[in-house]
Amino acid sequence: MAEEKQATASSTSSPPVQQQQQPVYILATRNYDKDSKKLNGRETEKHPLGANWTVKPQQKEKETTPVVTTSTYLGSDDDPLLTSNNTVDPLSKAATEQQQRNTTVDPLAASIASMGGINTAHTSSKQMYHDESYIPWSTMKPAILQQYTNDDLNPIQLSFMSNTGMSGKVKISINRLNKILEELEQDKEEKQPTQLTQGDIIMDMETLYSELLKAWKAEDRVRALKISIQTAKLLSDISIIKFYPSKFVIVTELLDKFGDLVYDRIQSRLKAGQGKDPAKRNEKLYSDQAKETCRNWFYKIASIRELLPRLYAEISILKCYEFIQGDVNTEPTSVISRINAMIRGIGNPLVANYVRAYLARRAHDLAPEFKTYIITGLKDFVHAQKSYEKSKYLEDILATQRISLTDYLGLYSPSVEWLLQCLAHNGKPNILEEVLAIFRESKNSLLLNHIISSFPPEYICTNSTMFSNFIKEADSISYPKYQLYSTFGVNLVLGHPPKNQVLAILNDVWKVVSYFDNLKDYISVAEVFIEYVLTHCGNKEADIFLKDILRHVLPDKAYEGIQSHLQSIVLKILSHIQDFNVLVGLANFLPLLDLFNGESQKQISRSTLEALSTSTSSISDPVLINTFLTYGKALHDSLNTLSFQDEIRQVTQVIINCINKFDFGKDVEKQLNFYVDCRQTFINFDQVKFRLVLGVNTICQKTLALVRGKHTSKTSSFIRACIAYCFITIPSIDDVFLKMTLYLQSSGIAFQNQAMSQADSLLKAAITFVQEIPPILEFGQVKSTEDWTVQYLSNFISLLVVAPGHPENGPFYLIKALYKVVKDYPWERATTGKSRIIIQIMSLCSTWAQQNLPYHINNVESNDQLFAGDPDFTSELNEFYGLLIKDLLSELNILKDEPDPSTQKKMVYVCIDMINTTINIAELNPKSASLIYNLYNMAKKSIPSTSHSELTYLKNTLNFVGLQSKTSKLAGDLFIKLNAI
Amino acid sequence: MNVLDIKLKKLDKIYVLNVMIYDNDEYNITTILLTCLDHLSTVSGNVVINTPKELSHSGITLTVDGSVQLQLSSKSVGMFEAFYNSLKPITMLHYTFNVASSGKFAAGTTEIPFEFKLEPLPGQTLYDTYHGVFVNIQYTIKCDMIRGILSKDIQKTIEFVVETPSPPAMIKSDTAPVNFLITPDSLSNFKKITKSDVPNFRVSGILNNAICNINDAFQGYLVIESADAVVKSVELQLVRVETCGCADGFAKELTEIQNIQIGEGDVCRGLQIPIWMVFPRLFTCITTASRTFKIEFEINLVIMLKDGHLITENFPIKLIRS
Repeated sequence: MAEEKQATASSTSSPPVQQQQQPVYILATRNYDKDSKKLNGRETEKHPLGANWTVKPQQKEKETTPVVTTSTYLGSDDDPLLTSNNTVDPLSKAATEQQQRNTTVDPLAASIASMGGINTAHTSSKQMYHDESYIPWSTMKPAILQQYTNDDLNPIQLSFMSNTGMSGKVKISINRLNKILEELEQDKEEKQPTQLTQGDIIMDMETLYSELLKAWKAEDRVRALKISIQTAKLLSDISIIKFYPSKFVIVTELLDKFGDLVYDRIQSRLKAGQGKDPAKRNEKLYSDQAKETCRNWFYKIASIRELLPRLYAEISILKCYEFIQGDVNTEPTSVISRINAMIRGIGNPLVANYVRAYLARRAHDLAPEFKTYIITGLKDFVHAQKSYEKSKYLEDILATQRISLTDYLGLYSPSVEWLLQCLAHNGKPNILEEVLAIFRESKNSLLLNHIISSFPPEYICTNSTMFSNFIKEADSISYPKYQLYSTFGVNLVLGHPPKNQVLAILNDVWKVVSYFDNLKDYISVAEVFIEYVLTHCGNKEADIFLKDILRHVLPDKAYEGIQSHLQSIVLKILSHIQDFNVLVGLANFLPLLDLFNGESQKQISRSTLEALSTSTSSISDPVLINTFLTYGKALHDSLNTLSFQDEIRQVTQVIINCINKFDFGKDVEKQLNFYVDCRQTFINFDQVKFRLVLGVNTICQKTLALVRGKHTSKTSSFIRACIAYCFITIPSIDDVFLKMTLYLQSSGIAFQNQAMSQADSLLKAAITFVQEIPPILEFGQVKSTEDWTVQYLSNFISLLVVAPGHPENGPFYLIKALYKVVKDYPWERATTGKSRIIIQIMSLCSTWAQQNLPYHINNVESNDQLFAGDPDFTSELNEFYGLLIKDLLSELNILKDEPDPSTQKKMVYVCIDMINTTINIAELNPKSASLIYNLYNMAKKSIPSTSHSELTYLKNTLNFVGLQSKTSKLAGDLFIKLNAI
Repeated sequence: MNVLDIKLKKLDKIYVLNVMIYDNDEYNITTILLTCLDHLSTVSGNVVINTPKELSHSGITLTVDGSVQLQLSSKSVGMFEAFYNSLKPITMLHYTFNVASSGKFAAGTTEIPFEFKLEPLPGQTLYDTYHGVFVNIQYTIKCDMIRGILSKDIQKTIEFVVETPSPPAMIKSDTAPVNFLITPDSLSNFKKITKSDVPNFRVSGILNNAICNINDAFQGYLVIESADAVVKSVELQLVRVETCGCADGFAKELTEIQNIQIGEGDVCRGLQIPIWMVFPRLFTCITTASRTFKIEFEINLVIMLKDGHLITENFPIKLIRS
């Protein structure tokens, strides 16, 4: 502002009326075109920001780090961010270090080598052995804990298992604690008569775990071992059978900890022998010591009376065998085979199989490539399973535990799964063949299920016909058929069955599945195979498949019971077929969507809309509009005031994204009709309505562009319809901020489209709503809306510059109404919002006082054309200006008395702004000069000497006054006076 | 912290006697000479004195002692009073050294090395270290620090383990696997049940060897081919047989050393269940026979039935060290 200026023909144009009176504030007219100083641009060679983006990666990479990520862009040499060429990007540095760390020799390997035990090559191969296809135990744990519980209400949570999401101290009742501790002390053998509940066991585990750590810390190894034995004993109890797999997870967690503690301790002893100081180096001594400790552990464990704890304890420290290689009976494979054989001694097949799983888990650390024992284990399992099935115990267990056979067999799942995955991981074909041979012999479908789920999908796919036959052959007692088909289907989806067999497999499977009596069984398989069809077949097949599903679920409204399955089918379809136009082309898809009700309808509606919103092409199909509105309506109706804000926000976003997809091109009327339908449908969503109004505004502008700025009678009536739409829609939006924004925008659009009276009404409406803007917002924290309001009103005033005055109520009708609203607005105490607005209105007055307005809207006659030179207009303008100054001064007076320093600061800014504005817009006469003098005086007094920015602003302002003195004597005097303050 | 301590160079404290065999044709007897061939049979270590301030003493002596202690169980006490003499401890080994004559130790740690060879007293033989109930074979090193009248004497005792080789005759003897079959017909001793009431069962198996290397595990397998009754547990019981006495009479005592479960619950029929037992250290030694005592071992295979009945099969075994 201080740049473009120039006082002008000061008093020449002032009307004679005012010369008779005392000097008053008079708005000056200026010739901006002439006065303004043109800024001369000059061509630049480069963008000021461009330098940093000169990409020279190849050149620099070698200098900085040996391993740099390819995405590292280094700037040119003069880049201030790059202090030296050697600066290393912290991220790539970390990455480099990481790599170096990985390549350093494994300390364990070194120590073993020094012991003359296993050779290093073997150890390092162990690390290489695991790749991505190996599912670590830790990822299986949470699922097991979730699935196998006796108490569905309370999730199993343990403080020492990180992934159960519970931390902190667990409260254990003192009585219980004492009892456990007592039992530990006494080591008593007899069985407890009391039945423990699942909660009790979990509590006990908590205690045992913390006791284990305590004992270890206190170097009480015997007690630590006792605790582990006690814990392992829990696994021989199958009284809460549904909880057993989870119990296994928890117990082995503790045993793992125990095993790791023992291993780490021995290893740390070995390390101690490899100190850097050669004088103290006594490797032989330390390695002897470590070996001796290790042997002691194994001797102790070998004398544990009971079989199960002995097995678990030995397996937990299995890895320690590597320390005593060379001793008798310590060859890893023979140790593992021996333990595997000893597991046969466990009578209960469930208990036995979990020991096997644990062995497979820990043996992986000792000899990962050794697998044959697992096959032996599986043979034992199948054998035991067979004889167990015949025996009466099975019936007893099912009766006492009140559990179905399927559920009971399901308890084996995690263990068999784990065994087979250990086996199948990097498994050679001959191993897989051997496992299949076990199945062929036993027809055990539980085994088959896990074979299918753990073998590489590619293997399953290439042999799909064989597996399909296997499933047909498998016995139906030990595992339900539909589960087998589901598992099979999952693998088929993952792999690539031979092209020529794709349909054959499907037909083969469906021949069986289609005749399932139980609909749930049927739909479970269909849920999996839909993906198969989508992945490997075409849309036509998918449609046929859907038809088959519909044929099954429609009778007797059977679909009501299987909503979740249907839902997942729909989701799979949606994720596979991106293009919604194709989707609608499937004759059986929309009927499928009609099957949902209640909560699942809501979810499916949402998923459908989400899919629609990510659809790649724009849409104008009437069927889709209908679909969209139907599901949108369902979704809309499912939410109410009690719904979570976040949910509403997400849904709104989805709907908006969908609306964005609908594009009717030049057919603006259709577009408007669509928006009308949308408004009707989404009446409760503010943001959607906001989007709709914006959309209508867009089509107004589109129309304007189509007619090249000149509306015909037809288009202008269309525009009026659009603006009317806005006018009706905007008040229904609850959010006042959105409402205000839209009013302003829509009225601008209306002006552009020459809909004057409607624009006027919109502005009027906006003015009436200013009162509703809350001065503060509370969302957790209190936030002032002052800045927003000031900004909004400033924009508003800018629009008023070109808004033509009202034909009946006069040119000042709107601005005076606005001014009144601003005065009445509940501004917060000690804020300058009101003052700032007043200054803006002054600027507006100044603009109106000019001969020509700085900008215009095409085809709109603004005030300069309507009122230019009208003396009434000018005098009313000056009068209004005077009023504004008066009000501003009284406002400043109130602010002056606020003691708060920040208010003072704001006040100073207002003062100085006002000085600048006055110099710019007012005629410099004694009255305005004294106003400036007073304001300057007030500002100067209120600035603390430490606030440099204000002082600088004041100084610049003073210089600005000095500049004026070249053309005006009065300004010169004023400058001298101001300088004197 | 101990003021006085004995530290052996060998951490596991196990010392082995080596054997040399001479076939002496002239006398047609086999003479066994115990010789100390290497460091394994040389016990060496340090007496460690650790004192915060100056410590004066009137001499330190080291006593090495190896002896067989025989005890009588309460039931055989009367019977043995007659030849009570023979129950005196037998000393196999005895040394006394003067480690340091009277003087002073400066504050801090002082180590005085010592070394001796394991050699029996004339006419005696060294046996394996063994901790039993009625027979104990123990080797100790005792260190005494004599101090003035005003202060208490300080004593420290540690035990070390001696392993001796088995007589070659025993090692050479037959090492064929032992087959066994247990059926109601093979049982001989019925308690609280008549033979006809015994449920039908058939258990077979193999012991890899009845002559076992003490460092190896006791191995074999068993198969419960069939059993009408419910099996509760299958266990291996290691039993020591200690005999004390002389020509005039003897007392034989059977006691359990450890009991290891190899089958839990109603073990699956038809599967080979491994028999595997590690011999515990200290509580077992090689099968030993001398003039006044004998140490032998047996293993009982016990099948416990749900109804409380036991089926037991006894296997005498010989423990050797080769």
